[in-house]
Amino acid sequence: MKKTLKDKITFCILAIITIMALSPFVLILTKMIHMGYKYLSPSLLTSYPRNLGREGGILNALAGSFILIAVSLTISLPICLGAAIYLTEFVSNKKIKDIADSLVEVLAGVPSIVFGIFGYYLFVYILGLGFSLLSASLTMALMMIPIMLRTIEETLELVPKEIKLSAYALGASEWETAWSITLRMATPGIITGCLLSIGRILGETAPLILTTGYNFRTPISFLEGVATLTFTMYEYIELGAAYPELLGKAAATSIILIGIILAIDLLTLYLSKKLTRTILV
Amino acid sequence: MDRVMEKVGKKLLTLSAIIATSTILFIAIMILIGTAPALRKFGFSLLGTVWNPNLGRYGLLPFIISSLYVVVISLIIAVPIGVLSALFVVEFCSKRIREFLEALFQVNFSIPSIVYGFWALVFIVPILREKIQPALINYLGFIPLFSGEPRGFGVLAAGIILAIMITPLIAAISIEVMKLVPEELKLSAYALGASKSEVAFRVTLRVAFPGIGAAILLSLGRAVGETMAVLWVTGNVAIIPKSLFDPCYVLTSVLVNEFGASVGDPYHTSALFSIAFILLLMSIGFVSLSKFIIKRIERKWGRR
Repeated sequence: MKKTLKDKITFCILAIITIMALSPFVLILTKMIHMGYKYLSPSLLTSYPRNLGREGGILNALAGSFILIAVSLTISLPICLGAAIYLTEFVSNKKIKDIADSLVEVLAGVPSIVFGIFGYYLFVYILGLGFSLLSASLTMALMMIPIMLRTIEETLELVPKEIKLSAYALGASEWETAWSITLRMATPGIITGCLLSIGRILGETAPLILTTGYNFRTPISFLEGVATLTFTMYEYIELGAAYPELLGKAAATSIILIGIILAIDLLTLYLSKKLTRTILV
Repeated sequence: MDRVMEKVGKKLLTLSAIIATSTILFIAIMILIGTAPALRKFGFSLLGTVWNPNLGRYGLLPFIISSLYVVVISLIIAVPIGVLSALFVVEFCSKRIREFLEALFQVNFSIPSIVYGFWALVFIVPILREKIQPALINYLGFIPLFSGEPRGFGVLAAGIILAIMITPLIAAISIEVMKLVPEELKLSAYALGASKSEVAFRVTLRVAFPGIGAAILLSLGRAVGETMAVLWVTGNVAIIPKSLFDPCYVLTSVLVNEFGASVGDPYHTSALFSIAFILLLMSIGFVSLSKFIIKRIERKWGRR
């Protein structure tokens, strides 16, 4: 009897602590909606900012985020795909693979602001690309490598040996097998890797402050600046002391941003469940 | 023809593998080279207490101490909450609820850091300034840790928002580690007549201890390198903070605020590079150490 009472008390205390740990999401969302609901309207998403952002929408940021993602994926995906195939299919020495894997793992631990310093110094300053879409995308592409490479590698390793061996038995070369068997079977995993790294890029701000100039329009050249959802929030919050309405705009932007990121999270969850079903079962 | 294609293809694969694996070396080498001028000119005076680029004084100690102070505060808050909620999820929840709660931690984790920073600015700082800090100063002001003015901005605000950010991370990793604790151990404790809470605290928590250590190290690495969540709440004054209510200036914030404008003054840039180098060392150190521990645990108990 005494024991069960003690169990019940422990249960209650731990439940309260867990609710405390999970509550920030609700608190943050409530505060953001409270501050930003006035600015949430279809025109927020369909019009460019006017008057330094005090009027108009955030179309530049929405379009900019997607353009930045598209360009950095175009740079990063081939590199990660190639590296993953090379590391899983063509490296037979386990020591070399371990070293390569741990180098990538260390890259995952680099703080985003350090990527920003690197991107600023190398792309903006030394290579003279200026504050531009290209500098920002190159920096972001490097940041994507760890998550994307690891996810793709893990899926490639899940592809059953037997299927590869049967392909060899049918006379396929190493290259043909990698290209038309392994890669095709790993497609859901590759998409998951892309989604995960897109989620990271969408929420990233610090490296962008140092690599992309702001832009009130959609960039039409690689050397133009680009605005993203996060960077727009940064600009608006920095100006918020002078123009309080910009803080409301920043809150509205954050709601859009959280919405997009949650949608990507859900999609990733769905895909990774599907992936384990098709390959493992 | 196919042969040629295959050879070119293989070369391209090798090239991309080299790019992906050597990026970290590039970053480290470039930052090391960038650090050299300041290190050669100032040497140990880089560890001074005054930062004033206009006067050529580049003491990094205020930033290093601010960062460590803020991170320690955040861990003191986040570790008990994260670990205990992980224990709740693993030991006291059915599988269904467990999956649901894990997804909620994931959601908390995927909020962008700038949103945390913004929320801290508009929510935590005012509450601290108007409610919590005046009360603390009133009742506990005789303790140096709680003395000073109720500014809102400062060590405590930054520590709280970082704690909120890393709690889901600590919880998520602790859950993974606690799941690895062998079922036989728990069952034998039950067989000896232990209650549910005794099993949770005396078996699961104790056996999972090294893994929880790894979770703490990982979040330490994350917290030191975090930029946007703390940028607006520390007050950004380059002093060595003593009280919890003192303003401070962390390593990452200096880089955001000063790096762009520093180019042209080689020593200023180089001093900032040495800040980046310190950050790189700290976060790589903590993160690699924790990955190493987690790998050892997985090898010991196997994935389930």
